[in-house]
Formats: sequence, C-alpha cells, structure tokens
Amino acid sequence: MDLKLRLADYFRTNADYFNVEIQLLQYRVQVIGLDSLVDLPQSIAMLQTQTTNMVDDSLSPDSLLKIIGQLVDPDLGAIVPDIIKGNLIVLEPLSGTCCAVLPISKVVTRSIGPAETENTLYGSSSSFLEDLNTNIGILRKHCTSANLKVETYKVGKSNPKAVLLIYVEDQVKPALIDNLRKKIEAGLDKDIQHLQQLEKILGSNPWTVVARFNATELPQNAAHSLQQGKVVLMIDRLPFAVIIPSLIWDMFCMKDDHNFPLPFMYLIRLLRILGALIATIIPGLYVALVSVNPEVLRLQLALSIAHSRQDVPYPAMVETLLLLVVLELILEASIRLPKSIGPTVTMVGGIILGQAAVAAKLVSNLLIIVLAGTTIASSTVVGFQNSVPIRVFKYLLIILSAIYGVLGLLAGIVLICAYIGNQSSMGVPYLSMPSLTQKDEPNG
Amino acid sequence: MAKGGLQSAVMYVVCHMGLIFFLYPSRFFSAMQTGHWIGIVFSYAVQMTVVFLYIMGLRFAKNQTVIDIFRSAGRVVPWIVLLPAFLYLVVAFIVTIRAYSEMLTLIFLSNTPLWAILLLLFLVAFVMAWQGIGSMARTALLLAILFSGPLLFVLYLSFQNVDWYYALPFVGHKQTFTFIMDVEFQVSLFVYAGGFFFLGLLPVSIPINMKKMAIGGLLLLPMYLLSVYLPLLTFGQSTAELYEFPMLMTIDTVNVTWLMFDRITIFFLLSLMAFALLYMAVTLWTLMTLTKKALPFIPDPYGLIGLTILLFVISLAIPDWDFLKQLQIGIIPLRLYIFIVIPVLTFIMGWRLKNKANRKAEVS
Amino acid sequence: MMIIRTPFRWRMKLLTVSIILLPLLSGCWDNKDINHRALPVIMGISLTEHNQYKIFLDIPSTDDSNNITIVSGTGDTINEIIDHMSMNMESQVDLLHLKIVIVDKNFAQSGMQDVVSAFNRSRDISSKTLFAISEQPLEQFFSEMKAKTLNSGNVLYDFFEKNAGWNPQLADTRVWQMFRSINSYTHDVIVPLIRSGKTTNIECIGSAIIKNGKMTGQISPEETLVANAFYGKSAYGKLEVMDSATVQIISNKLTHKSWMKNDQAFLRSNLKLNVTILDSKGHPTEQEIKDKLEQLLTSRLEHLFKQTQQDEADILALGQYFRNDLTREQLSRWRSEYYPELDFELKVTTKIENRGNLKNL
Repeated sequence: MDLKLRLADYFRTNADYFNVEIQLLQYRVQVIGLDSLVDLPQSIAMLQTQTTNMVDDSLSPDSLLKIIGQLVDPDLGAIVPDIIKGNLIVLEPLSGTCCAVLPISKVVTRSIGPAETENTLYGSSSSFLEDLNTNIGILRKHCTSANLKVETYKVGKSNPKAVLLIYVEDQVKPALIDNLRKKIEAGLDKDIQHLQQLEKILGSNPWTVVARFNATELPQNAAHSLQQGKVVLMIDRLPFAVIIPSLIWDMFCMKDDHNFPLPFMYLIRLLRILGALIATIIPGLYVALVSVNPEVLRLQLALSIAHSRQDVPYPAMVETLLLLVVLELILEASIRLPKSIGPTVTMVGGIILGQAAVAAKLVSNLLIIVLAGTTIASSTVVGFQNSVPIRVFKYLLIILSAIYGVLGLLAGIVLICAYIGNQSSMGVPYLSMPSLTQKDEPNG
Repeated sequence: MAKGGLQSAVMYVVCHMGLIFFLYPSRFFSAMQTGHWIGIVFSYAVQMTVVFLYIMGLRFAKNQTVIDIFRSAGRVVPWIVLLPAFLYLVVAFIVTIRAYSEMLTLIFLSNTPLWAILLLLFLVAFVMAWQGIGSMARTALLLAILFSGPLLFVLYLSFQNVDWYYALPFVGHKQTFTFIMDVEFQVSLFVYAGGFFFLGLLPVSIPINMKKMAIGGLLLLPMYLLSVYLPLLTFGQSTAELYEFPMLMTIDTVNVTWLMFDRITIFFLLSLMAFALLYMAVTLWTLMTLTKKALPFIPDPYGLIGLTILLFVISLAIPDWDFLKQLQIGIIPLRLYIFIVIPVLTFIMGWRLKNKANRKAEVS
Repeated sequence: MMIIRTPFRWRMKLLTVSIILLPLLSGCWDNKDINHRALPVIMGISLTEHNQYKIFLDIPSTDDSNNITIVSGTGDTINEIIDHMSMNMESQVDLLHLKIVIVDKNFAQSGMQDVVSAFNRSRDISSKTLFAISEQPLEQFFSEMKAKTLNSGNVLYDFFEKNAGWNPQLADTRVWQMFRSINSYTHDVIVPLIRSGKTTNIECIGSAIIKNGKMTGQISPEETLVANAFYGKSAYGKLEVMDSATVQIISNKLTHKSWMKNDQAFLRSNLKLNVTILDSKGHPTEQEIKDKLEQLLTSRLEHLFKQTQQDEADILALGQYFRNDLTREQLSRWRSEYYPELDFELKVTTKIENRGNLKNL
C-alpha cells in the first residue's frame, strides 16, 4: 500500500490528522502532520519562503528534502513517532523520499509566569513550565556556567518522554552522575508520568516519608543546587525541576535567602529550624504533659489547663487527634477548592476551630493554640514536599506521648532522628551537608 | 565527606554522656569520702591512656577491626580474647537498660509498668542498631546538635544552689589511694570501661581522627567532674551519698521562676536519655557485630532480633535493684579486662602487625 | 559500608506488628488526664493525741467557681491518708504540684525526720517544696485561710514565691534543705513561722530554728533578715535604723577568715553592705546612719549567734568554713563540740550608695 494511504489509515481515528498537497519548486509534495500541534498555514509559508529562495532548481527531491528537514525512512514505524512528537512530515510521493521538518508549532504551553507552589519574596519569580526547551532556556539564564551539561534520554515505551539530566561538570561528583546515568539507562523502557515512577526507576524505597528528591518550580533554586554539585532531572510536561539528592538542609535553606543581609539569612533559617521542631514536638508535648506528666508544668499553667479541660469528655490524645484531623482536612480542602471558593473553607474552619469547638467543650482552648501554632510552624520549611514529613512525624510523637508521656516523646524524637539518619538518596545520606565548593552553611 | 573523624568522636562523647550522669555519681559517693577529684582524674587518665593505646593499635593495623587484628594471630584467638568482652557488654547492656528503666519509673512514670518501659527502650535501641553504624553515627550527630542545648542549659542552671565550701578539703587529711581497691570504685569504672570498645569495630567509612577524639575526650572531663561535684557542692558528701541518683536530685532543687516548666530535671533526663539510647544502640550493634562474626551462618535480621529478645527476657528476669548491684560487683574482673587488657592487647597486636608489614615491605 | 540492608518486607511486618501492639500497650495502665487529678498546693501536717498524723490538703478547684477545697484525714502514714482521700474524692489526689508543707508547731518540736525523709524518697513530691511552721493549730489556720482566699488557690504559694510575694525577712527553706540539715554535719536551717493574719492572708512572725529536723528555737523577722544577708539573699531587704533612718539593702558581700587554735575554732567575718536611704528622721549625718546600722546588725547577729550556739544549731553554716581544718570525723562532731565554743566576730561595713532622689539627708 502507498505510504500516504497507510498513514491515513493509521490516523483514521485522529481528527486532527491532516494531509495536504503543496508545490515546492518543481515537485508536488505531501505535507503530513497533526493539526493540533502544527500551525499549518504558517508552516507552509515557511517551507515556501525557504524553497523559493533557492537558485538552483535542479535539485533532486532527495537533496531538497535534506535541506528543509531531516530525512527519515519512508515507512510507518519511523514516521509515526515524528508525527506524534509534533513534527511535520514532507513526502515526495514519486521518489518516495520523506523528511521530518520542525514546523512552526501551535502554542500548547502557557507563557512563563510566577511560581504557583513556591512564593518568592526577593528573587526571580519566573517559574519552570511544562515545556522542556523553555525550561532549559530559563535554567541556562540562571546558571551561566560553561560546564553546564544537559543529557537527554527518551524514557518509556508506550508513552515515551524526554528526560533531561542536567549537571555542572566540574562541581558534581562523578560517582553520583554515573550512578544516575546507569539507573536511567537501565530503566529506559519504563514510563515516567509522575515522581513515583521516577522513584521506581531510581530504585529507591517508595515507602519513605522523607522526600527523596526536591521538586522546585524556581529556576534559581535549581541553578543553586547545580552549583552545589547536585543533579537536576527534568521530565517533559512536569513543570518543575527534580533535584537529586535531597538533603536535610533543603528544608531550611533556599537560594533567595542570600538576597537578605547575612544576619537575617541566618535568623530566618534558624526560624525555619525552630518551626520544624515546634511543629513536630508541640502536639506530642501537649499530650504528654496533660495526660502523663503534669508535674512538669508550672502550677499556674497546670491549673489553667485543668480548668480549660474541665468538661472535655475524652483523653488528650483523642482530643488532639480529632482536631488535627480537622486541620489536615482544612489544609487539603483549601488546596482542592477553586480559588473563588477557597476562602469559604478558611472561614468555616476558623469559626469551628476558633470558637465553637471550645464553647461546645469538645476541646480545650489551649489545644487550639497549640495546634494553630503547629500548623503555622509546619509551613515555615522550604518546599511543600518537605512539610509533609513534619506533618506525618507528629502523629508518631502523639501516640508515643500518650503512652509514655515525655519519655515517649523523647523516644519518638530519637526514632525520628534515627530514621532521618538512615535515609539517603542516591547513596548520599540525607543528613550530609551539601559538599560545597560554594559554601553557604558554616555549621554542621 | 569533609568531616572525617567527627562522627566517631561525636559517638564516643555521646555514648559516654549517656552513661556518666545517672549511675556514676552515686557509686562514686559510696567509694570516696573526700578528694573526689583525685579519683575522677585518676580514672579519667587511665581511660585516656587506654583509649589512646586502643586507637594506636587500630591505626597500626590499618583499617582492620579488632576481630581481624586478633584473627591474624590464629583462628581461636578472637574467640578467647573477645568472649569475655562480649560477656561484659551483655551484662553491661542489661544492667544499664534495666537500671535506666527503674530510674524512669522512679522519676516520672510511676504508673507505667517496668516491662513497658523496657520494651520501649529495647525497641528504640533495636531500630537504631538495625539501621547500622553509619546511620547511627549520623543520628548521633543530630542528637548531639538537638540535645546539647538543653543539657548545657540545665547544667548551667544547676549551679544555683551550690555551696563552694563543700568542695573543701581539696585533699583529704589522710588521703590515700586505697580507694582504687574499693569495690564501689571499681564498679564506678563502668562509665569508663564500656563506652569505647565499639571504636574497634567501625567500618572504613567512619574514620577515627586522633585529634578529634582527644578534643572529645577533653570535653568529657568536665562532665565527669560535674556529675560528681554538682551534687557534692549542693548537698555535701554525707547527704549526697544517701541518694540513689544524686545528679537528678541536684537538678530537682533548681528553682527557675521564669520558665514555663516547673521541673527542669525532665529536660536534663530526656536529653541524657537520648544519649543513653544511642549508647544502648551502639552496644547492641557491637554485640550483633561480634555475634555475626562468630556465627556467620545466622541470616541477617534474625541474629539481631534473637539477640534483642534474649536480652529483653534476661533484663525482665532480674528480680530487683539489689540484684542489679550485685551483678555490677560480680562483673568487676570482666570490666577491668575490657577496660585495660583488651586495649593493651590490641596495641601489642597492632604493633606486631605493623612490624610484620614493614618487614615484608623491606624484603620485597 | 556495613549498613545492613533489610528487605522492605521486614520493615512492613515490624510496622504492622507494632501498630497492632500499640493500643494493647496503652490499655495496660491508667494515665489520668490533668483534669481528673486533684492537685493540692498546700499540705498541712499535725500530730493528733494518739500520735497519728492528721493531714490537711488545700486543693484549688479547676472549675469556674475558683474555690479552694480543704480536705483532711487522719492515719498512721502520710501515704495511707492520701490514698484514703483519693478514694473518697471524685479525682485522684496527686502530690506532684505540692508547693508548701505547713507543719504544726507541736509536731515541729517533736521532730520531723521521718516526714522529711518520706518527702525526699517520694516519687511525686518535688524536693523544691517549701517548708513552713504554723503557730496556730492547723484546723484554725486552714479554716481562716479558706475564709479569706475566696478567689485563688495559690495565694499562699505566691506568698513564698521569689518572683511574687517573697521578701528577705522570710526564711526560704525547701524540703531538700531540711533533708540536708538532718544529714549534713554543718548545715542547719531556719523555717518561716506563720499564722493567718488579721488583715492580710498570712502573717509572718519570724523563723524557727531547725536542727536535725527538730524545732529548737525561734528568731524574729529582723534576725531572719540578718540570716538571709548571711546567705546572700538579702537584696532589697529594708532595715530600720533606730530613730534615724530606713535603708534598703542593694547588695551584700561576705568574706571570712577562719582558723583553729588549741582545738578551738575562730571565725572573723566581714559583711559589706551597699544600701540606699529610703527615709530619714531629723537630719542625721551619713556617718551616724552608718554607725547605727553597723551596730544594729552586729548586735542582731550576736544575739542570733548566741541563741543558736545554745541550741547547737548551726543555721549560718559556719562549720563550712572549717572544712579545711577539720577531718570528717571531727566535722561530724562540729555542732556539739566546736560550734558552741566558736569564737565569732562579725564586722559590718556599710556603704551608702545613694540617697534616693534627694541630694542630702
């Protein structure tokens, strides 16, 4: 069967498939592509301007197509991926040669805008997009090192995707980059649609609570970690850069901190550390002090807590868990809801938590303060994915505190420390300092 | 990593910190009436020497563990040499964990049954030991960063009720060195004896740096002194010797009106418990490593699990506090063995190995 | 690396098992929430005629009424009584927050060693608990207290608290100091003597000298101030210099010189006081005030010292200064042999730091 017909048959069910005939010099050629990805009139105009300027009109179709695009085998298997990728296929039916042309494509990507999940105070506010090429461009603007290397991999069988492995050659440890390369090459036939699949390819335990890699929307963060000798992975259509390895300091430090005066920078980081500690420890401490070890509190405090808990019918642990679940629900709901309805949740939550629950003697008012503090504090760390482990850890502490009081709290903290100490991403321990040529953290 | 040697030094310090403040002062007050610093400095000096020999021995042998060093002298040698050490560590582990859980019920968990506390301590130690020494070293660093603050804060505050005259006389009127022969003094040596053996089992990835170890050792000296002198200066010898946990009583007397917490003992105790848990985990890991080398046919997690359960059952079987004390006295020979004989042997063996290597190098 | 890689399966198993076990654990014993515990602040102890303890507990209520409840009971040991009270109350009595122990004067005079030891042995009671002795019978004291303190449970506690109502004319003695005085060779203590006041809640009428847990004598509030000056706790204490001025102590400093001669102890102490003048009568000169102040303090201390020498109670802990000179065995006989013979002289030097807002006296 004719290639043209076979293609038409292959794309039978695709409404955006087109196949038009145009004149290029002396040849009539078929132009084939997907309407949704290719801006057809513009691309034809481009092809024609390109060819009309050619003086020598005795070119063979072979060499003509070579000039305007890249020759491909004229068979279905070779052409289809090109079409799906959004390229234009130019086919000269008489000689049977065909080539893939990079067309003027339709814009299916938003323009560069501010980051959605990470706010910046002082710093560039442009964020990564879905489009890989744009992302590399943005990144190159931020990381102007001549040693910036970008390696491309096509990963996946049924849904092939481009994955970029970006690093700065003279900063990164060869072992790390070799390790990553090997892992990716071994997993070339696995699909990557989301980070869990990426985890699978990189072979890390999927059940870990601590983030194995840092996803960031902000190019300056990615550029900064490149300079620290980390590796950035970018996956087509994921609007963020994945930074490997993720270290504990990523929770507390970000590039934009350096735009503050130095003392502020350290104070802010200290504040974030404090926030993380408060968010994990305080709820457990409340449970421990109220139900097991009231002697630790000052007398006045003990009496006022006892007073505020006077008619609360259940133990402190249940009380705390109850309210925490409500808080988590509010957090989740406010992400889920459209921006226009979002404030409603906040308001309703505020009323319930602020006043009604206490007035109804369902929880003590000290607990409201404790949990409000916890929620606020847990959001001070850098990166949303980093606040998740904090949210999880506090439940462990609450349960242990309810059983063993402050000793349980301590055991929980030690367990968490041990857990964190045991984590590593790509062979780099989570607790290690970024081994820096560009030093930005003196303690350790 | 740029922190070569830091991790091992921190582990060394943290393990000792976990031991010093609880059982040591009370034993020491029973052992000495006057001139306490002489006893402390004496034991400290012995410890520093011995640790120095131990590390030198290890260094001569270049990245080999103690087991390997002794194996170089014959297949049976490590069995003979290390079995008493193993026994001592088992008993020391049981005594420590049991004594600590007794103490915890005494201080703030009077309603909680003993076995439950033991279970918790064992669980934490087990989890940490399971994760291996690399994780433990990092954990030690993290714990040290987290808990040194409250610890130093409390130590600073506990000078509140100090009467410096209790330190007098500096040297007793008839000060002799007979305290060395005192049983209680020999028991008190457990603080110095059991906390450094693990250094000989560290893998290559956790190097030992002599300078950092020395700094760590120096940091410990004031801790040894404080653990005895704070209670002494607050209560005086004749009262302090009556307490089971003099250090905790001392801190309990501190009255801080501007803190939202009434009993700062709890911060102190908790910070130290964090360190103590690490000590237990390290000891458990040491025991496991020894077991694994001795009986390599046991598959990986089962050895540790079996060991933990065995130790748990034994520590539950201890009837009372007095038995614990008897046990402490009973293992004095073992203690002296692991304290002095093993490091010296390691030094000699390491030296021999080095000479052998040198000779080989010359021949070739 | 010697890290032991454990299969993921194992971790999950462990996790599941521990999650299943956790609820079992928490059911094994009771942890009572704070609102189900009665937290007494004050405990009163007296002896009945049958040599039994009678205990009063002052429990601030935690409901809106803010009343205090006074519970009392009789029995052979303190713990037995507390247990009995717990049984009969709607919440469990917990001595964790006990702040003050008030004992009856009769009981104090007959000796409190057992009680003090019991407090020190106890897991619950903080060794920071204050000691006080009531002049009145405890029934009367507590009922008057209850009548007056309608709205807050911790009035009495504030009375002694350093950052609230304490002042240097009050002795400040804790359970651990009592225990130390019982066991130590050289340290005795003074304990505030109180009664319920006519207009104020509590009235302090001086301090009791306690030796080995037994009350042996009594000193006035003014003498307590001197003793506190000796302890270094006299800052902001006010002194009335007879007929001429009132001064406030800003700081004080003590130096000692001690020696032994012919088996007799000698001690010369120098108390340096920094004072400020609060008011003056009839324009005395600065020197006059100084002289009078020094004379006043010396005589007060002299009196105090003589009395304690009689009682063989070393409340100023003077024996501490002879630790270098005496062996432990001699030190153990300090109170009975050396202290009554001690040759002690105090020299007071006063410095008037300022005269308040006025330039002259």
